[in-house]
Amino acid sequence: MESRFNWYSQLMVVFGIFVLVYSAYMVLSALISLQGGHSEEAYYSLMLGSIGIALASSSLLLMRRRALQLKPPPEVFTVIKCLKCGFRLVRHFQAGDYVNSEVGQCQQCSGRMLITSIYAESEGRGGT
Amino acid sequence: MAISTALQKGLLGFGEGGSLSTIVSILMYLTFFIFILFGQRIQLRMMLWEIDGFLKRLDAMRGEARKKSIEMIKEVGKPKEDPTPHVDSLLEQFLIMPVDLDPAGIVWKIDHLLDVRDMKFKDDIRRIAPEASEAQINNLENLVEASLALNTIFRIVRHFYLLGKRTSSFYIILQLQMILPLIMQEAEALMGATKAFALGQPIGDGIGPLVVSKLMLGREKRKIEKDMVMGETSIEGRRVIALKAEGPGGNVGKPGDAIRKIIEELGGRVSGIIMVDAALKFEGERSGEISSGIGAAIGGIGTERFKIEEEASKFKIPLYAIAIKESIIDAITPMKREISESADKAIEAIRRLILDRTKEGDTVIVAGIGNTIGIGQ
Repeated sequence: MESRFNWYSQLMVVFGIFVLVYSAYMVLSALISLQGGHSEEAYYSLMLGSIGIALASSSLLLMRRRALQLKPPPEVFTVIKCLKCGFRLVRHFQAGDYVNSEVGQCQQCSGRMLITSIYAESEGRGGT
Repeated sequence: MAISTALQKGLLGFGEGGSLSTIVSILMYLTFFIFILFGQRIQLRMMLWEIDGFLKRLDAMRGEARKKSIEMIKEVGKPKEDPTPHVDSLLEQFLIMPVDLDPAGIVWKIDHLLDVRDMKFKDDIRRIAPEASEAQINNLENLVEASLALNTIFRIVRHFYLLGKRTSSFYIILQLQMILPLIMQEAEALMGATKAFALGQPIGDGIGPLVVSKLMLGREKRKIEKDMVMGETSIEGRRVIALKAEGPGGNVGKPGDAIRKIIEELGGRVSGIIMVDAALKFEGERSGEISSGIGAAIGGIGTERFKIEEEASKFKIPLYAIAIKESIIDAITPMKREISESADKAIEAIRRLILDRTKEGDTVIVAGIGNTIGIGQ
């Protein structure tokens, strides 16, 4: 379903860009016609070109907004802290993790390590 | 330029005695009359089309949540027979609220019905997931409840959609279309919640229990009332009784009963009750902001708040509230970093409140309200 949506979206974007380019071309040719004294021709081209630009822009902006909404779900991290020396470790959440559970010994001082926090963060903002 | 002229002459008919102008005029008049005669019907069709899209998404969501519930029950509970028919039956479960023609005593009736519902739901899960631990049963219960909520949302939306379509009622469809973005937001949040419940991750609503778990860390704890634990600590010479739902399984407990029991055990000698809970933020506010106020900070149907208010007013105990702001989506999806980091600020707010409003030797109850999934004590 996801790949079908992507294919459809891409097709819509290509079509939107085509309409936008053609509409811009019509506006340009309207201006040329106006200079050449063909006012009726120019007004219709200008009207159709403007409508085309408006519709294509709104469609492309809508597609962009939808694409932004389809961001990947945030990742969940587990923060583990040594109760003795305060050494802090952040890793991806693993099944069975819960806040205040003990998870082995500290690499630095062999003290007790405790999960102090579990939080979700969007990709690229995690870290140690 | 040559291509342009050719296109305009060929496709649009420019330069042939104004024939295009006539066509456009006729089209404009035609459109005008069509919109006068069938405007509302066209609008109705467009709205139905839009709602149909939302409905398809809702259907996919409830299907996915149901699938996830069945998979988790099979994985964790290792049932001997296929749990699908039992899960389907649970997804259709309902609660009939007591009659409110004579509202006196209705809180206890609701409380009783909620207890029965909770007990039955848990027993049903236990039966279809025999190998699951108590914490896993709580998580599975939360997961099935989220699936049930999605199923109910879908059924209600479909009901009004079909009703509006059958009767061609513009106003039913209009109301549905207006409210659907908010419904979809809630449904998306419930989808996020199913993942958190399946994996046992803390959710935004768990900030209250998280704050209290930090207060009771390393202290002796004991179980008090149904699914509630308490631990004692001291802040600036005040005795602090910290209270939360028993974790790490998904659980909200019965804070009202627990607070009442503690107050009765202490003979009413409590100088204050501080309730820490997640509160819905307004649009434009930041998640994780803290604000304090007066009253019982607890959501839900209202029975637990009623019990706390009753007890507090009976013994004239001040009720203080510390709210951690978050959106409805934040509340039921995995806890965001900014919300998790607000726990320390909430503890500081509690400390300040205790210093300002009580004196040394006093006893204060601090209750962390919310779902304690993924948060131990």
